[in-house]
Amino acid sequence: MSYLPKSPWLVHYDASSCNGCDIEVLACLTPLYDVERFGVLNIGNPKHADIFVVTGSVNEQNRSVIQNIYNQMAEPKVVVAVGACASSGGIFRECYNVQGGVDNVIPVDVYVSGCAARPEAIIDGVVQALGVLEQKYEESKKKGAETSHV
Amino acid sequence: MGKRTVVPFGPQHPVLPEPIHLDLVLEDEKVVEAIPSIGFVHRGLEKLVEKRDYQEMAYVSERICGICSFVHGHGYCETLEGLFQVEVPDRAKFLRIMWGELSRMHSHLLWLGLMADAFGFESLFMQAWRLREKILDIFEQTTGGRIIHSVCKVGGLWRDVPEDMLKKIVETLEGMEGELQELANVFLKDYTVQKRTQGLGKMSAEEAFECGAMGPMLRGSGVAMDMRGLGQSGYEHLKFDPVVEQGGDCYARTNVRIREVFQSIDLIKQAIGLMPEGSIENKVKGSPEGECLVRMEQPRGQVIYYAKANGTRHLERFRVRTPTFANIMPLLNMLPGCDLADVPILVLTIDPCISCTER
Amino acid sequence: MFERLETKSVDKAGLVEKAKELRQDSYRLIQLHCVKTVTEMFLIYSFEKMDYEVVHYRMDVTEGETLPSISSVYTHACLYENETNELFGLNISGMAIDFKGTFYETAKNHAFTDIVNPQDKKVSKS
Repeated sequence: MSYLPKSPWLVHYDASSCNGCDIEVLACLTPLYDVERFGVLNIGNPKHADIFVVTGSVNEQNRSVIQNIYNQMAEPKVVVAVGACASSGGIFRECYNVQGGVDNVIPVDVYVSGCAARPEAIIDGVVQALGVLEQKYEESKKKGAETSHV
Repeated sequence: MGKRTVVPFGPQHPVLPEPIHLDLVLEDEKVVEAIPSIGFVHRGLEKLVEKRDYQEMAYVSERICGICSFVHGHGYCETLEGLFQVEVPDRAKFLRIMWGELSRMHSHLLWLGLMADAFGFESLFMQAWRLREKILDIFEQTTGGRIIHSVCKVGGLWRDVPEDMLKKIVETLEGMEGELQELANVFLKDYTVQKRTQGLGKMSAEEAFECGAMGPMLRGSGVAMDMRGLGQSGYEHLKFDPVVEQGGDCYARTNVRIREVFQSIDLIKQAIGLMPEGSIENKVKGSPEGECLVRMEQPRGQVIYYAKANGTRHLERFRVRTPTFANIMPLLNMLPGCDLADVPILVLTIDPCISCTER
Repeated sequence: MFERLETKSVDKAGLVEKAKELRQDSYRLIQLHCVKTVTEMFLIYSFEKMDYEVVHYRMDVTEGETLPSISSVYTHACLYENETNELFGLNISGMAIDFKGTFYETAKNHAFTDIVNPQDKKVSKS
């Protein structure tokens, strides 16, 4: 059992969301839902973060931004796609400037449904992401042990 | 003359919930020039009219922005009602006013929170968002959604609100007034908050008007322009005077928004008081034809909808000019001369909504 | 009860003059946008006064045409003009800030220029 999932830090990026999911992500942090009591912090620096929360679909300009933030995060890391747009493109799927869900650019571990995703659903998604984070951490430890023996 | 440096600001930045990018040219700590680049959220939803018919577009236009979602749905429906030449029943008009003003309250409270966050007053941010949740609860009780409501349709509304719930809403809002006053006191009387907002981003009435500022940006500079004063869509029955402040700085704009929250409570009470019994929809038949342009007041300022139809179920062109698009120019005018540390406050003072701007 | 859209017409040569005149008359530019349908293409400029009075000017254009910018009169016009330039492919000369087609940086250039004939879709929709 590692201490990693005890206090996961999030970095949030609004790809081309309508804002609905973004303010719900923020609403999770405020007094009614208050995930900060569990040690979850929303921070601006990708290098400090364990979980990458993306809202909205991918378009031409933000492709590189998403990739960039993802690359800056330290391993192990988990990606949570929040909302219909981040999962598949949602209602904007057929727009000329939308290329679909976030999984076009980076690997996604947890999908949260809804338009806009409800705070309860987002919290649930983050909790699921913790399981994935733990698993990734164990795997990387095992791998590290194997290589150090050789 | 100091050394010139270019500092990129955004698109992912702790103070910004949404992506906008500014290249700030600095001379020591002073901003000399700001060059914006936008387009991180551009989806091209105006073009969706070719794929979605006019009824479905009501849902698409709600998703122009998740903060003013009701107002966008309402604006779209009014534009289409203009094409059909259909007037909605009075009950529907007043319900729309009620939801519209609730949207304004939740948008302004959200902004107050973000503003507090920008000058580093974390607990004030939490307080503002805690109060905002009460408005979202009202939305959830009456429409079923917290953020996206989908309650407007062309010709009226999808659902009615029962009388006892209306009474409950008035009670909730009256109960909030005391807490809102406490919040307002911190924003307007606290010494540290005043230090950060007073005298910052000064704009005279003339400057603001000429460069196309809208909404609280314009009214904070002493121009009494509010599209609700046009007396359209039910506002003609209400007692309404635009909120105006003379200061022209960030403090005055904060004050305008705070006073508008209280004004909204008053307008909702008036609207509920005047609400007649009756139907909530006048059915529209056939397909829209012609051209219509509607100006309305959103929480962030004046919005313009334009629709052109040719008698098929699909519009030929749908266009939205959102308030933030108009407020970009005032922002660019305000930035030169300020300190780097004040940039987040100046960006927030226009109440930026990037997904509105780029659609 | 609704403002039906009534437009006055203006042409390319008289556009900047007209804008100057309106500014003298204390109007401000509130928006401009382009419309392209199967049969026509035009721009609408809207100006308003402090007492809510509004006028709209319509200018017919053809695709790929070069137009004068009114950003020398109203600086903020250049934002709308850049948008029009990028989405509709109209060339606008003399803009105060010229993004040269990188305003939105869309995946597809001049996305609003190809029109799907609305008649085609009527059949597929019941």
